[in-house]
Amino acid sequence: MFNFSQIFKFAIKDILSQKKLNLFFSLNLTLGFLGFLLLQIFQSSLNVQTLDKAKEILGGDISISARREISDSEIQNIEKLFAADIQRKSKSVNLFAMIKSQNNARLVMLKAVDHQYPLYGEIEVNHNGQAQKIQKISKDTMYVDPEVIDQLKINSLNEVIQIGRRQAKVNGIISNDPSRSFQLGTLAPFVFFSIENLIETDLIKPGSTLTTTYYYQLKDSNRANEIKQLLEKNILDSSIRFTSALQDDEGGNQVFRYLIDYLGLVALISIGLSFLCLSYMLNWFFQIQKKNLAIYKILGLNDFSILSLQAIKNLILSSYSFVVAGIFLWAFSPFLQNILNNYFKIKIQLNIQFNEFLISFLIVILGPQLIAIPSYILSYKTNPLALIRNELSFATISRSMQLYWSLTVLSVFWILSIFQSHSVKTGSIFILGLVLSIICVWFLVWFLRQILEKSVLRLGFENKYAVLSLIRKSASTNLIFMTMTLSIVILTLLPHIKKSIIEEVRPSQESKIPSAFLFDIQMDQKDQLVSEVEALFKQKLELTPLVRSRILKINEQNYERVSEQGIFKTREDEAEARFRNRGVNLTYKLNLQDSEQLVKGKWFDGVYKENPKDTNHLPEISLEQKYAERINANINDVITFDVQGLEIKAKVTSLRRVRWTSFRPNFFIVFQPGVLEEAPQNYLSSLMNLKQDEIQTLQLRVVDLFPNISIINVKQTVEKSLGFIDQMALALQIMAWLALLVGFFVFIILLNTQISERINEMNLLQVLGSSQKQITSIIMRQFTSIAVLSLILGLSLGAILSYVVMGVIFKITISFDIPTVLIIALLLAVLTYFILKVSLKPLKRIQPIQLLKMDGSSN
Amino acid sequence: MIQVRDLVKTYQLNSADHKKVIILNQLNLKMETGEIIAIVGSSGSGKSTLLGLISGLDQPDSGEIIIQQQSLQKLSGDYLTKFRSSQIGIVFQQYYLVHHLTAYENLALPLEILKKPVQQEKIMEALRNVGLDHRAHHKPNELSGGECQRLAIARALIIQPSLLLADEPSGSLDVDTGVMVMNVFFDQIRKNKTTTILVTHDLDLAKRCDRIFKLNSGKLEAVQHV
Repeated sequence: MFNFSQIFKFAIKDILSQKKLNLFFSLNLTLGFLGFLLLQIFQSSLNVQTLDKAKEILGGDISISARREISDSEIQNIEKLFAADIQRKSKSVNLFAMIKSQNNARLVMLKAVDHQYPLYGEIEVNHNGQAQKIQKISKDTMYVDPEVIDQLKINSLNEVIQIGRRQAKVNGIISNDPSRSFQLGTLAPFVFFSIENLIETDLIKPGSTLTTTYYYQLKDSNRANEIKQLLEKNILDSSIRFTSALQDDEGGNQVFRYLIDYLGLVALISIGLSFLCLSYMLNWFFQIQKKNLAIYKILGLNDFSILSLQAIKNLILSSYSFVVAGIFLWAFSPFLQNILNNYFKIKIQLNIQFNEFLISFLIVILGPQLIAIPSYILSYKTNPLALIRNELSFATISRSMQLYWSLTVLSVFWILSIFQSHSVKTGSIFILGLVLSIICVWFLVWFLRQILEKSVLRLGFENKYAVLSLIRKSASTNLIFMTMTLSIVILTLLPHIKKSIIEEVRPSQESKIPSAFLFDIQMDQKDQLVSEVEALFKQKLELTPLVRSRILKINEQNYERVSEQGIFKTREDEAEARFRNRGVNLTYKLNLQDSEQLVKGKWFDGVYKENPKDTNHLPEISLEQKYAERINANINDVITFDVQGLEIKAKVTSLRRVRWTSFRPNFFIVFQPGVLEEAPQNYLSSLMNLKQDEIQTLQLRVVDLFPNISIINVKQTVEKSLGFIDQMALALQIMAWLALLVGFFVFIILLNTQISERINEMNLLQVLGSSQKQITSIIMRQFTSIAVLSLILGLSLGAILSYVVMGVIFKITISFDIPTVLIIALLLAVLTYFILKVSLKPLKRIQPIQLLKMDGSSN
Repeated sequence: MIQVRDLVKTYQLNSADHKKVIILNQLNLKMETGEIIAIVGSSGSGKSTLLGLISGLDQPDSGEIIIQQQSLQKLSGDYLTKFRSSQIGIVFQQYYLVHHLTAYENLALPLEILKKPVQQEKIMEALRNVGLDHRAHHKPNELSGGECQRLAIARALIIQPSLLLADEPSGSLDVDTGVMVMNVFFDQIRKNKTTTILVTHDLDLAKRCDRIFKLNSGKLEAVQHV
């Protein structure tokens, strides 16, 4: 009986005796782990950064807000529910207000904050050319957006500004406000003011429209969602809104979540490829070592010791690979950090959360053990009698056992996918896609085998031998074909997904990125404004009409919800009623814009013409698809609108998908032209490609000519958002190439092992009279056909899977990245060719005499 | 006629002094067409080395091997390969069959490689001769060890070689199967009058040959039948 230390020594000896094989083994794992850990670190860092960003945008871990004043007793009652969790709190009151300088008056968004604000991040200001951070807003001072200085024509920061009944001085111009995210809804520039002075301004009167917000920093930020749910459950007043920095909403946060989830899947792909390769190598190892195992058994190692030996060997190799990958990361992370920060300008702090590190560690240590189960079973089943009988084939695994193992691996991979993508749906669809791909590959291989078996007799020797090798050695052909195809599927999946996400969040053309938005343009101002802009910037101003209305009926059913006795049973009912009773903004246009895509129905034929004889001839409207789902409307439904007192009926003729992040004016409801032109309306517009000084020129001009028009300078905010998106795209690209590197390594291993495995067969062919050229040609034909078929199938399945992933999971339009995929395909083809060339070199040195010298080893 | 003249083969040891070991030392052998000889000798005496040289798979340091009036040492590259595969059949101890091909396809393989016509009747007859016609469409892993070796014998003979080299053909088989396989082996080579060199440890088997040689100190010594 062997003890642990003896088995450990045996394991070390085994590893050292097969240095080359084990080097490949650990190199594969090291590369896989490296890819996985690097992506985990990147994902973890990005997650922390996104969470930090979300906290900065929200102003806390959690916020409680209402479009009214929240009384002290009210907030105290709410706070009682999570008092133990509160670390710090802050308060702001936001309201639109007119402020006045000596020269001008403007509507601004007044943000009255206490001295704790903001709980996360810092507001940076510029005071007479000096950059400062707001510590505390002193009494009778204010900090303003740059537009305010231009619009109020303030000459000196000491100038007194009137806010309601109070006067204050501008203490600095805001250069960076972390709470600011790009949102079209913000119609006026910001002014920060002390909340202590708010009452004295006398701006707040009964019925004033204002938003009161309380921000909370929690002792444990991770509890934000939990606390939000607790508050929503206990506070039934739907006018009070609870927001958590952790929640996924439709805003910019969602975009970053896409990217993070995507990174998680890339990490999984990276380690998945490595494990796929590992599975192949373990099987190969077993074939090489099965005699040794039988000898060990004859020498007295029992089954448990044999299993322990195998498990310890794998544990040593995977731990070694993990340590090497870890040391590499530890040594190179400052360098990587430096490259990311300085060369790629990605402001990210590389670090990994402990729980993520722990899970990564468990994956890299337990993963190989799980993958090795079939080889453990084979080792267990190896009968030393086979050695005595000199049986050609040793133990095999039953189909049912293989199935159980595959299902176990799949389940674990499924759980991991869910963990990595932070979504049951995303993880499940990803796995389902992979399983379907595997089924497709199996079916195709089976189908090809049926055809080839029948036609092989007509082929010449080299082709016949190559084909017979492929179809008869179905297990290894399937494995190689499957591995190569799946590698290609997942490798080509990455560029499509990345491009689709980036396309979704970033305009494809620089010229379409807005510099400024203009709101509240009145009908009588539009011609003059257009000509002014044309004169100033030689730019044709496109005006989008905005008509306010309410939905009265859908298919003659009342749309607005009224509760019995004015009381709703649940918070959701009340919120739904509020949504329905709210007004909707309409627009009209003849053509779809870039940010829109028709998903159902037919777009407008032309301008609507009333037909007095046909009362059923209604104007056409197009609805945004998610909005249509929410109001429960579909194609051919008739919706009745109240447009400033006038009832207008319209028929839904199309549904659109809208890219809300396109920086374009987008609407839920679009009318056919010819209906709303005469309705009371105003316009909004955006200007592209303006420099900072041009925006200032525009502001001054518009302030002079049209005091009611609001201009928001979005250049900096948009550029900042786009800059971040671009940096992320670049980072994702780097990470995808890392996964590719792992994929390429898998190819090298597969080709090498296949060729090494078949050296004896090649020797025999030479003994029987084949020339080296013929043998090389046979192998070349086999692998070329596998590579070409895998490439075609992999590219097709990759495109299909991307389509499913983007359409079903992310619900965004797929943008196929054909050039990148073609580059990958070309690279794979070239690389496969070179690997084949290099791998076939040993064939030139094959010595058929070895067959005579080999005693006791089977081919 | 087979003639081996003054054959010398040495190997360099991997030791630090790169010492050379003489395996075959001025070895000579002459065989008549259709003659069957056995070579016996202790392990490491150079039996496999000799077979490797006679089969043209290895090159001697000096000396000459002439088969059918053709000196192997005067051939090289593809000519040697072609001559060897068309004139010399080899039966290995470990059979070395192609596992993904059926018994029929294994027999057809040398003919296809040599671009000779593959006649179904001829192959079936070869299979019949070794008692495997009913196993024509079975793959080697579906055959027993004895059947595999019989198939390997049939494969070696299907090209009608001028010389058959057999390296311990029953070495991997149990006694009964070995006897049965060797009966088939001798039946076939006697019937075809195939010049054969059989390397074996088994003296009883060697006694079934026309002459016996013992490989000793790199030279062949004739052994008298008892």
